[in-house]
Amino acid sequence: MSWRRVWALIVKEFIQIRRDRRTLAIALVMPLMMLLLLGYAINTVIDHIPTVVVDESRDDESRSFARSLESTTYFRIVAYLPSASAARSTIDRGEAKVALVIPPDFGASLRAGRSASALLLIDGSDPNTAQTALFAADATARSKGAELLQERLQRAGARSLEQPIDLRPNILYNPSMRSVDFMIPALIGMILQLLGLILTSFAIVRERERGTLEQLVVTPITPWELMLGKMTPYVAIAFVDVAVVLAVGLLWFQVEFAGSLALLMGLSVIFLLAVLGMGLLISTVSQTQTQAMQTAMFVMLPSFILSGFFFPRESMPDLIRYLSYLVPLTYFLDILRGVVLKGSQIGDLWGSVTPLAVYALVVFSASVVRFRKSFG
Amino acid sequence: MSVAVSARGLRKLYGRGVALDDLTLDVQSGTIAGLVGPDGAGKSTAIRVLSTAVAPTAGTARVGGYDIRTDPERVRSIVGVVPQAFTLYGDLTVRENLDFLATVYGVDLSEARARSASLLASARLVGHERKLAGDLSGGMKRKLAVVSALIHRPSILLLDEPTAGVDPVSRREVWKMLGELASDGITVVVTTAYMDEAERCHTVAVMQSGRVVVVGSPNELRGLVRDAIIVVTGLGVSSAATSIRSLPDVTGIRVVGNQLRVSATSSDGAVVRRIVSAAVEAGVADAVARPVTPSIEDVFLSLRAVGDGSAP
Repeated sequence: MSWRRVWALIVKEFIQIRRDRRTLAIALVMPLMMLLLLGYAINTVIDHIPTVVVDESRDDESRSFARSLESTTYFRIVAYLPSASAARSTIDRGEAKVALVIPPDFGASLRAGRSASALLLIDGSDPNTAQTALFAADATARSKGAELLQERLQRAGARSLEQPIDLRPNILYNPSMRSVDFMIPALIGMILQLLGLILTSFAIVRERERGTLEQLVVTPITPWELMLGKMTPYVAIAFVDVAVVLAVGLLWFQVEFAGSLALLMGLSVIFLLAVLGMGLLISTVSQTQTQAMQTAMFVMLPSFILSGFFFPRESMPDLIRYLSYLVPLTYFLDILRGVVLKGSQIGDLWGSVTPLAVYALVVFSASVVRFRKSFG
Repeated sequence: MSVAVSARGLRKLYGRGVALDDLTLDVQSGTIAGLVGPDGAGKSTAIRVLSTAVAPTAGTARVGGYDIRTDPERVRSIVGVVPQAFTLYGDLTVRENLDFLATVYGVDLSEARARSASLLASARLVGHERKLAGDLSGGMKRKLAVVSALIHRPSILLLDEPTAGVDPVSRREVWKMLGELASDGITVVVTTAYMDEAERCHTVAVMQSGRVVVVGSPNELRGLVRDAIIVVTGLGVSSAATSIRSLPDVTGIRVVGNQLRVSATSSDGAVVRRIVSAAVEAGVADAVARPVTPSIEDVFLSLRAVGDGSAP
């Protein structure tokens, strides 16, 4: 092993990266772009659902019910309409997702101590929004109902009543339930995977595709040196990206970093070994960068879905959830979110660290063996 | 003189295809050896095996005294290789390419700079150091490839068709460099499909179907051509080919540019006169015929005709 030769390869690679706009864009612009997109565009918490109200009762009771819906912040009343059919057509046009239709006898029924009914129309095309609207409206109706019931009982002579069940929620970790706090740690996993897998395999396959490998194999460079010289620049860039994403996440998006940075970096190295191994494997089975890209996509796209990057794994069917254990990103996301959001210590994380380390060891050794055969 | 490259029964199979059947060859130190032959003769494979880019299926070779099978690292450190395709980094400048290879070969950078300056000068590439290698012209790229193969002062230089598709001026410059290297004591093994280039080699090995058919100096090879070669020129001389071919002493004929190269059993006056009159009768009024010494191409074609089983 000659460190001089490895160094020569690293210097050469950095010069090439500097001159290749596409690689530069993937290495430097993409992480920040993803950070801003995930920070601002993705919001898995649904609120302020546009809602229209058709109030045919027009009295204190009906107005109070509509107001209490809005005060949950799940609904935002965008218009008051004269008829249910008009409300229906605003939903058809997509201007509102929910319509509350209060019939003329609503207030009168309540005042008379009878049960009053109201109609809620929900646009179900986005199931998440529909579900949130349904739960929020249902909860509002129930608590409003309990309130009215209590008034009636008091008027009938009962003394003050207490809620039989007093639920006091206490949200641990990310108490304000912001999506960005959930996404930014995951973004670190995404960046490491992208750089380790795509850029590294590209950098190696490019030598083959352009014919420069033919020259390299007749120089004293050994497969080990070639591998190190190819990986090091992208590992360095990956860690710079991670630092930038963390800094922007903490300072700009105010994500609270609960755990240990050293632990995060140490465990990132294990994950990086796994993805570098996959990148090497891809480089040994690809003749051109196009083939490498296709293979990389084949590996990466399912991993984003399976790992729980966007969708919680808890809601996946069993079979799919078992598949997700084959994806190293799954374990790493658990680790990332654990360390960043929950302040997990290594003792809390063995369940994810052990399989990830085994995975990294197996994939990386296999790839080294294949790489030495293919480039030796 | 010692033997710099010595191949014994080198064989290389790709899948079921035989790229190199049996290469046995000795190249003396400080000489230029040319591997000549048609496409698919195994010339490139020979260079790839000798340069340790691929391992032979059977046989072995010593390059600079080191066995290519057991000691490839040593071979790589004393051999310079110019592959057929352009294999330098197009997105690196000339200087960066040279610095990279110098470092890879463990050459001290200040020494490499001095060495590359003189090499670039002899390749007439001075002033292009800051250009991207990919932006150079085809001829310049070839010369740069030769320069980079020499940055670590190899004692043996292996080149695979270094002048294919290159303009005549650059071709001459490349061969001038090779000649200078040989006189500096560097052993050069070069493949070429151009027969005129074979004349510049000290030793020529004619290859066919993965084998060396014949080895010798250009003069020795010329001695192998039994037939006399007579060149016929004149306005529209190619129209006389058929009638000249039918003459009794003529054994072969081919059109080369605007002349006919006739092989005949002898080149005495009677034969030459008969050829001229046949040409005149065919309408070439100003036909002239003169005997010439056989070229390597004539050698090659006569060998090939033997190999094909037809008469030369």
